[in-house]
Amino acid sequence: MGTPELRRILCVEDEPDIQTVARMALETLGGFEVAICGTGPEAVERAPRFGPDLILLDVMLPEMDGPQTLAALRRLPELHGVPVVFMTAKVQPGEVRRYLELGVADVIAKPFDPMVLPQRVRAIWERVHD
Amino acid sequence: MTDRQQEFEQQLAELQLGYRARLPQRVAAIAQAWSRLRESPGAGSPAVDLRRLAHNLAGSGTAFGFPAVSKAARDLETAIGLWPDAGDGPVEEALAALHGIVAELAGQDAGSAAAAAGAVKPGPALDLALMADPGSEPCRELAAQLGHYGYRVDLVQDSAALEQRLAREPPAALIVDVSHGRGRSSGIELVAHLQESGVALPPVFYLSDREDARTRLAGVRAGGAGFFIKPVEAIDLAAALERLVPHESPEPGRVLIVDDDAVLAARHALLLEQAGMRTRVVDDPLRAPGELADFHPDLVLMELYMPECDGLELAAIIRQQEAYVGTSIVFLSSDADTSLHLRALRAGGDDCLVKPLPPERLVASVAARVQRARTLSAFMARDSLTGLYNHSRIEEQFLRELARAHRLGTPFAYAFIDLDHFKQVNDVYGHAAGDRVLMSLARLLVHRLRRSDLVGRYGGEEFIVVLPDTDWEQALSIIDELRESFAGIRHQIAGSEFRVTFSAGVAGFPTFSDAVALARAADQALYTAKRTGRNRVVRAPLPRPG
Repeated sequence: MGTPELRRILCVEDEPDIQTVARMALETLGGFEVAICGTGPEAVERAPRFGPDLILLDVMLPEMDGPQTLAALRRLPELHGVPVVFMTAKVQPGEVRRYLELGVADVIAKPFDPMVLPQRVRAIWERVHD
Repeated sequence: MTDRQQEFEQQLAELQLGYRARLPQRVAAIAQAWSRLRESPGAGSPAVDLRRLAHNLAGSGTAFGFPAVSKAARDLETAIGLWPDAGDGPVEEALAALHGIVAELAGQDAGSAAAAAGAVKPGPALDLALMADPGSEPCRELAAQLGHYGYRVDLVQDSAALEQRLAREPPAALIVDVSHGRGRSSGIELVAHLQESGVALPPVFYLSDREDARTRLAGVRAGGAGFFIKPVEAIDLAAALERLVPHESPEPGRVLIVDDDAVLAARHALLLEQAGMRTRVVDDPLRAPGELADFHPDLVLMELYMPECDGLELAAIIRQQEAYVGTSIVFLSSDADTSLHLRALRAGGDDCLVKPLPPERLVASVAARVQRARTLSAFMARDSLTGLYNHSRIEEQFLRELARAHRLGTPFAYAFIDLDHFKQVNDVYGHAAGDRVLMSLARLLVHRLRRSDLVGRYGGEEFIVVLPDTDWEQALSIIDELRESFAGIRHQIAGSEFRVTFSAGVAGFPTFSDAVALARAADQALYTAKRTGRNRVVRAPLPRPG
């Protein structure tokens, strides 16, 4: 059985510039269908309707941070088995390990290079389904 | 490169320009958040606001091709985290550093910054909007003088006219007379007001009567890219404006990868290629010196530990050769031992990256170093006063153009320009005045000629211009227009004012087909121009048959 196709990505990010560049990179370069949410609560509300294959989640969000949003998303039955990838500017090994222990598929360091973001995401997707 | 990549690169280049244009505003917002925090100290919401602003900037800078912004913003974020225990000092310092980088970027050419991320976009037109009292003679004169340097200046009288102008066709820069309107710094207030109402502004330059810190600070907060004290000389403003114009897209950065681990080397090569750089891989360090001479890399990325010849030894070999003084060396090591890293830096390395490292980190570090190596080698090719190609580089470029013309059979023109009575300028007004005259001619040539034209300072007051794909009849009228413009520039020094002219001789290929004959013909034509009264452009006589 091959890897299922990665088509829809939900990106949760509050910074407008990063929203734009991530959307463009993932849509134009990666050919994915992308939805952007600016906050955790918005993601929790929209995710079941959008039905993402994978979720990119910023760790430092206002109100509800990345780990809190992750916990809320995990409670949604529609998102069962959907890999979540953290994006964070903090990449100390200890911190990354803690995030991985929370059950995220991987951690992408910010600032990321938009040219390689889609490949990065695809590689994570393939590894998850390996 | 795939169509998708190309399409994305174009989109990215546009985003980068927009992002860069907004940087001064973002730094201004950070500065404002900091002053709010200091007015009402406490670890409550102002501190969180400030930290978030810095954090967001840190998180986006590199993605848009500005790693230095990310780094400075990250330092600021750290400093804010230590506040108030560590006092105001570290935050102030970090804020100043960030401001410095953004101010420099506002000056640096957008083209090369975008190129660091592998994308370039054609530059904006040289349109300026000047907001000042249209009745003011100095302002009208400034507009006219800027015209000589190739800028089109639109005078706008009030904020309504300015908003219309911005909506219709945004200028490359906005120049604002601080004292225009009511109040002593109402020009700044007006810009700040526009910003608050969300109007997208080009870089803003202020003209002020006063030099006090408060006015300057207000200017910085309102996103100012430059601040000039009146009376403002057109050449100073032109110099600042020049840095806004993106230059011709440079070649992609070149990276030589030296690593005995072929798999890892190939992976790094792929990552760098995807970021728009060109790479060459060598798995045998002993072959590196040969490749270095052949490939002329901007940067050498090498493993610190290699059999036969390790990275430190190879760095020493590279550093012993003057030709590679501008080449950047970055080491890779899986050992986090800092004393080893220090040794690597002492051996001439510029950076030492610990493996495994995230791809983004590799690309960002290498792109930034490549950019720096480029800047350095550009400095070495340039005349320090005028920023034009220096004597040896313009000769080299001329020979290269001649070879190209021979190969393709295309014409090109060559002009030899010499300032008239320049010695008198130096004698009467001093050498500083002479230098300013040289700079003003340099700026005029750079601005008015095409990007593909080559301009060099040959020596003293002599300049060489090479116009590719131009027959010399055309060149004659181009140079003559420049002559007229230059003669119209008023040079000001210590209260006195004077004008300077130049003479020029023009020759071209294929009428003259070898380098010596061509240069001599232009030189003779220049001599004729001088002898027949100066302030004129003369065409070289046709070569005698046989």
